Amino acid sequence: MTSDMSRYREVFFAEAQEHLQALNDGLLALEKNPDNVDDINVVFRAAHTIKGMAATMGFNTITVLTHHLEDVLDKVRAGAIKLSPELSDLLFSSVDTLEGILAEAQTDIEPPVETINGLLQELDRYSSNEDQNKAMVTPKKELKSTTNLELKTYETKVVSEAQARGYQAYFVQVELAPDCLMKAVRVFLIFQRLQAEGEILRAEPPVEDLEEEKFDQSFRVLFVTKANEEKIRSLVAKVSDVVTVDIVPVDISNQEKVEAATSQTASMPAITDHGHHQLTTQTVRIDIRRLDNLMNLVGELVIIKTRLDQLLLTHGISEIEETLKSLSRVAGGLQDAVMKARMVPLAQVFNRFPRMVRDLSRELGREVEFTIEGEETELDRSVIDEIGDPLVHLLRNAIDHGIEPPAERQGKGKPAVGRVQLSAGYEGNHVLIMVADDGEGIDQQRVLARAQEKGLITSEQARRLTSDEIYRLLFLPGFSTSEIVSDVSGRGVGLDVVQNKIESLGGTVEVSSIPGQGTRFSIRLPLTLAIIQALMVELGTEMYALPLESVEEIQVIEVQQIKKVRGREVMMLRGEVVPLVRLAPLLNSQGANLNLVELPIVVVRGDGTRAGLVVDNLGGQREIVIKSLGRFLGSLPGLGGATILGDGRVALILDPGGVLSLAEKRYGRLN
Amino acid sequence: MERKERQLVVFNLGQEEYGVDILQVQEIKRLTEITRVPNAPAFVEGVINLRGNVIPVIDLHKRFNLPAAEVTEESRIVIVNVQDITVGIIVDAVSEVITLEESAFAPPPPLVAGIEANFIEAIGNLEDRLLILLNMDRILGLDEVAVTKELTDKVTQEGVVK
Repeated sequence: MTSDMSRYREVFFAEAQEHLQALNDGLLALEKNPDNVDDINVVFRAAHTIKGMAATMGFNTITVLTHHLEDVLDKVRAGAIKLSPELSDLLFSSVDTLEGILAEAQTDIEPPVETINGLLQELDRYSSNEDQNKAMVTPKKELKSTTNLELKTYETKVVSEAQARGYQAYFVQVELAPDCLMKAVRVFLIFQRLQAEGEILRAEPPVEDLEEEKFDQSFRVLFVTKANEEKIRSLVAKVSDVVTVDIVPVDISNQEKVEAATSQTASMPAITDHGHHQLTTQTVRIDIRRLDNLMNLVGELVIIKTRLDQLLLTHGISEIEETLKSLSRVAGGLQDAVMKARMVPLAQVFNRFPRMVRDLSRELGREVEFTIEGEETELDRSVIDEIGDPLVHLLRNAIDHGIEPPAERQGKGKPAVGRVQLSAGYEGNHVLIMVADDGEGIDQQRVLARAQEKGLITSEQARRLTSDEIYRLLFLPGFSTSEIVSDVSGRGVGLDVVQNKIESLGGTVEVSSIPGQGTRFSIRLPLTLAIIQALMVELGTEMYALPLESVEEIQVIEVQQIKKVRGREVMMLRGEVVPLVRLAPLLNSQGANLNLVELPIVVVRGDGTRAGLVVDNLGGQREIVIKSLGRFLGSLPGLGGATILGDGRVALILDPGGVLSLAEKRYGRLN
Repeated sequence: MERKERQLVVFNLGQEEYGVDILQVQEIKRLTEITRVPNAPAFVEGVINLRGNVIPVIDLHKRFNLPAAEVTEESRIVIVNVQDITVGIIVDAVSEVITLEESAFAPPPPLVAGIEANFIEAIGNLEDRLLILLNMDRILGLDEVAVTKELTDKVTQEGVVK
């Protein structure tokens, strides 16, 4: 395989994953609401796209499977067959098979078609196999003769409604010059112009293909407008490289004929009624390592900038000051932009859950209404990759232990359908993810009994523990039990594993529960996880990291500039009094004990207080990876964790808010 | 405790010989640079970098209120795993790994070598030597009394960086 081809391979598998997700999501939505035309179209389109891509890549089994899948979906779309639970299951299992084949094809080679013969036969039972070998319809040739036959039932409806209100529907066929470059741009322009005058109901090939220039020279749209043919023609023809514009009015006088004909247009791509949205969003896939690299470069840039700042201080060249300020702004903006580029919406993790919840609730005989909120919440890429497993565990827990069987729920006067809710949102510097159910809640007595049995607590302690502490017991290693944990959520891992994972991401997990009413797990994660920009400061031989986001500015002052107000050291900063905190004694550090004439001051803000931290030396700015201090040390005042320096030493990360409140505790209020 | 025999890692602190159950020992390291942690309990010497993980290190001299030891070529950090917590303990020297019959152990007398009986699980009788088998759970404060404290600590514990 040429390197070029292997590059496409990567793209193919990445995109196939997305379409698989669309298939799953669409099928789930359809199962709930079988008549939703949009959902059918989404599913159909996903299958169709995979088919097209797989054919291009030469993956025969995938092509054949998606083709059969498409046939069945088309029948469903045409209303020829109903989406029964059995069919639903078959479709889901086809999607699973498809996923399996894709995975195999990605790592190894594609399994031969024979391996899926059974599945294909089952699918054929539904599509009744009348038109197996129909090829792609070539719209160009058929256009004039079969125009009105190509309307789907609901399109007919839309068109007739539109006509009643004085609109007219047209098939507009556009042919671009053979040597036309940037065909997607022409498509975009044509769509834009047409949409200014009416609504595009459908595009053939589908909009995605047009966008990706997966068409030869011509495409067509079903267009509803008040404009006349001439107007449409002039609109489209004005776009450069358009060779011909064929406009055929749509006649819907004979609706029966339309319905009879729908199956013949089976492999026609579906409608995108709001196709223009897709034309406007553009994304690029990028290797996370490139972003990391970019981030490092930005870090270097900031360090150099800091050095320039220092030089400026010593040499005082006022002409440079202005330029340097602009540089700071740009560097800051760049840093933000790169950080943002690393952010990924939680939807990437959440979107596989509806399917999982569906399968699980079926398996366990529960009825569950699963809702997701806040999937647009963004987290650093590295957190997104890790958060999936803990959430799977909590969701399984909710369905298995939380939600009672329907009969039991009714017996308790609850609705038979249980509710499981997954929500996410921002909370200050953190992202809060909650998994809540309205099941039976946690039985504290049972937890206590279990903990005693396991020797985790004594009976005397059992009496003293508060609710919170009792729930905490659930997270202790060795608590999970076969009695409380069933096969499904058991799998040999307990909540301690969930907790460890979350803590390793720098987050916390809490549980609250009301007996009989439900349980809620709350996960708090730092927004930008592991990697932060920090200013390194030295106290004697010790090195500490200050998160840059809380550093307001750096000043170098002379000792005489330190004033005393009511016995407290302060400095004046642009007319404002800023209290000073000597970091070394506060942290019981030896300090350098130099008789410095000039003192570096780091002005920080934390928890609403502002103060200048007096340090021995500044160690420059760098990107650090946050490590937890671990369960044994827990949270210590003034510390936010640790990081490992380039030379392998450990440096502690200061939590400015904590440092300031430590100072207040020791020396009294700062402000 | 049904096992008939126990394997112990034997190390020295001052004049005494101590042992920890080998099942709790993850590895033995030479002394590396230890980063002091302000406001940590006094017996916590600091933290070290153990292959990318930050591990607390405790000084048993301080924990047992023994006179401070000199750091020598023999000094080692014994990395132990107790209740899923990984901690390093600084010892003057690691001497050997021995296997002792369960019957060789006796319950601790109230005060041994000046350290609290609480920290001692048993005394091993080894011909002419006495071996102090340590109760790491208690030394780390993870014993049953501490569970409640630890739980409360965790409830109040916050994210790594605010």
